[in-house]
Amino acid sequence: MLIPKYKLILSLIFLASLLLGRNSLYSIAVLDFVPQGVTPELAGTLTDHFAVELNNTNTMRMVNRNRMSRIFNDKGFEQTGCDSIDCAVIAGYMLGVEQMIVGSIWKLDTTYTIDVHIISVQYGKTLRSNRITYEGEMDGLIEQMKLLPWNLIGMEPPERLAKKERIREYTLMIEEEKTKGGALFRSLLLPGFGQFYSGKKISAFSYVSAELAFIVMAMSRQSNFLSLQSDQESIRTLYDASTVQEDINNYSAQLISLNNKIKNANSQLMLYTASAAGIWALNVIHALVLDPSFDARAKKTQGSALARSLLMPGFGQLYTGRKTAGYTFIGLELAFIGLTVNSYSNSRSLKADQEKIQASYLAATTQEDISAYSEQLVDLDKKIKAANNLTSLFTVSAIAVWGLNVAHAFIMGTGDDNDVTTVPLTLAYDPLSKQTQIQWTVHF
Amino acid sequence: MKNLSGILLILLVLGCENETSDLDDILTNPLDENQVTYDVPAFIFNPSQYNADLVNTFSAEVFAMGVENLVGANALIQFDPAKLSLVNVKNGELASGTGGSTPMFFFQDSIPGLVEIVAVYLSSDSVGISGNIKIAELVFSAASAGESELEFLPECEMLDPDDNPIEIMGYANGVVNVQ
Repeated sequence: MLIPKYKLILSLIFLASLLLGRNSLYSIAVLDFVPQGVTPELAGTLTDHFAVELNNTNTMRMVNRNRMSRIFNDKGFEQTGCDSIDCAVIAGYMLGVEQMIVGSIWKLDTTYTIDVHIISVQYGKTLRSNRITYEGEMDGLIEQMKLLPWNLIGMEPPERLAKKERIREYTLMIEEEKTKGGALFRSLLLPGFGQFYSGKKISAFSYVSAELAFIVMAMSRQSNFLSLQSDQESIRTLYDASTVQEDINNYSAQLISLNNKIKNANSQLMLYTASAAGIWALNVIHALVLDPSFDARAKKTQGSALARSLLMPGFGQLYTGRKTAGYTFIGLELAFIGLTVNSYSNSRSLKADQEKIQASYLAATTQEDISAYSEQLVDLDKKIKAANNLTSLFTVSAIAVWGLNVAHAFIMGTGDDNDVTTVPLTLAYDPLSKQTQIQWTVHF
Repeated sequence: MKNLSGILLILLVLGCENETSDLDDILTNPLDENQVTYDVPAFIFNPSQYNADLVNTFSAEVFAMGVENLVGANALIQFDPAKLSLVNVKNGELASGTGGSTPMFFFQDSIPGLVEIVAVYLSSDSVGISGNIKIAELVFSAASAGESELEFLPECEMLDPDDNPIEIMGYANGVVNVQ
């Protein structure tokens, strides 16, 4: 019996407010849209944009939103989550308005859905409704929120809003025309351009940066190679012209050292060139896997996971939401790369020592010195071999982790079919064997 | 399309590799004890290979390599007279008169395809010289195209201050390629 009394009091308040504040325009108030998958702050901001634009239509008399909040606070009314007719009616009675606007904002992946209803406070009915679905940047969403009041009340939006909407629709139309072939062609032409075309700006800049970095490093190595080769030619002339054993030994040591440096420079040139080519190939594969059409952007696919894991270990897993696996792969890969670099650096340092001692060994004339240097060279040779073995081991491990990560990303796919968050244990009584059985399901 | 891209990438990578020489191809000084395969003391030609033509002459230096206390050398060198012609024989370091020694150098080339060189280091203290010593420089001209050899004969000799022979442990003949 409490509810009819409550309704009666509210009706009296409503009638009183109508008599006191009678105007030719409907009085209306906009409640904060209910956030679903977005922050309450964002929902509040979007509601503000909606309310301001609704006021610009000059078709309704709006209750100031600050005043509305004060009234709700005074009466202890919590407007959070209020998007039903009953709730709107109660709020409307409290504010003394004829109509209420309630709504909700949903976000799923990158798609926003906004529902808006005009509720008649007096009749407790929905007068008008509108729903928009939007996918894209925040600026566009705000524009949609501004267009929404006009559409809701059935009026043509002003030119300033209509023009922006036409541009957006045109952009969408162009984006929808984008094809895999277009992305592939562009990525073949220049790394990153296919991704840029497909709207993957971070990937695009990553490819361009990586490609440029490897090309610059390769050019630097080539320049170093040519400089060393020139030095080698000069010293070789001196070596060939030498007849004194001491000079011969001296120039020979320099030639050995230079030859090692030349081979290193050449190996590095090959490595950087191969890396640049690899980036190029990855960029082409990535562009091929990407679906540049607008609809496919938000869709997580097995191909995208694979491309990401090919690009960087763990990225495919992070993309599909397997954070533990993602961070594990990233950690393992970084660890092995770090160990490889450390072993390689150690090997280079030992080689430099070996070259110095080799020069002393070749220049030595007494048997005592020769024996001492010889022992050091043998010892260093063992250490270099050990360091090289470690470098090989860590490199292979890094490659294996990379391969495993790719296989994992490919096999696991987007993970829509597997609920990996559930406990993979099933406990059941088997009436045939009259035993309780436990089943363990492994997701891989 | 994919295959073509793959091939292009491989060609791109391979095309960027520079040619590098092996140390064996660089360290070719015939006087380099650490690289040569013959033992010392030895009679050698420096350089060991000659690329000549039919127009210009070329010089072949005869060295006593890795000797100790050498005072005299007698080198007999054989070559193909149909392909090479001896133009001149120049004195080297052993009999150059350095260190107050008396120069004594002569050669005999009356037999076609054979030259005998005698160089003696005659010093007042009767001490020889050590190391790599140029005995003589042979100037040749090419008579016809093809490959031939400048060959040391086993009758070659090295002598110490007491006129005792120094055992010659190796010979390195020269190779001439006329184009």
